[in-house]
Amino acid sequence: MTAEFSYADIAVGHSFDGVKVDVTREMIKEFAMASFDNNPLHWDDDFIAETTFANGKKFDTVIGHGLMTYSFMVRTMTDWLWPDNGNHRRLETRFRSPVYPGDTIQVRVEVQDKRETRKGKWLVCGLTVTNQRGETVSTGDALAEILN
Amino acid sequence: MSETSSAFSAEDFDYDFWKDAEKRAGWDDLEPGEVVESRPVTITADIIQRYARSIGDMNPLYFDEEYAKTTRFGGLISPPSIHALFLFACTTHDHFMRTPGTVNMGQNWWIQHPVRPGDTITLTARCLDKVIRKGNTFAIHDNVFRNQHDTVVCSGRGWTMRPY
Repeated sequence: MTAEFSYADIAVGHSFDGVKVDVTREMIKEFAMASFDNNPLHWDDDFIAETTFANGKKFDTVIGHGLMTYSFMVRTMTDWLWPDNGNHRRLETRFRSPVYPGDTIQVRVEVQDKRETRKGKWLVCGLTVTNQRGETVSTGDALAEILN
Repeated sequence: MSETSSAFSAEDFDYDFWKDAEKRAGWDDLEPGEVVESRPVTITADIIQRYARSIGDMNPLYFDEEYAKTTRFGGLISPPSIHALFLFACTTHDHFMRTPGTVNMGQNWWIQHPVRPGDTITLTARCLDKVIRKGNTFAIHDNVFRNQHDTVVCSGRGWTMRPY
């Protein structure tokens, strides 16, 4: 692979839009099969209708897996880093709002800080996932290790 | 943890999460700090590729061995988020993460080494803490995944809201 950027090239504040996904029931079902998480929250409308949380909240319909959103966030990092001698090393997420079939979600990445440790070069990144209404469905803190 | 491992396939997996639901630990039963039962599984290229396809990630590093050999990875790897499926592959059907209505609130994962086809993955999993907030019950749990060389491939912690 040819390195197209190095640690020195990346400025704090650098940001870009990443993976954009039209979420469908079929996609959620396929993720359930592939990730072995077949919780009825992801496919059973009757279960959703009868499920109420302690604060009185309910889901509107079946929901996408938190780890599906997480997977799109990680994919955004690998699409960016792997061709350029970087590695995705950490992601901390908070799943703030449900992702429903019919939603279009997009990942955004911003480099918030840089740090050289004794043995590594690191980009501290903030990730935000928004839906088509501009609502934040997930946020994340990531670490990218830059090898050159 | 059992001593044997075999190649894991979707045909081996029981997708019916209602089955044995009553055998699973509820919030009251979870014992923070206790390691729960798990099993080693061998991850195939098919498992990795099914997962990659499901998230629309057709990176040739997961699919094209000849290409992957030319990269710094030296061969096929998996997406760093592959641990999403390990939790279910490496646990037994009565594991509390399968309880219907379990809601994932957030996760943090450190990625140490790529997982490759043929790797045998073992899990050390615990509930670490239990919380009640705004009337809902939550569990905090940690998971450490190792490969056949006893090398940690990734480790992480998550919060789930418990249905009961």
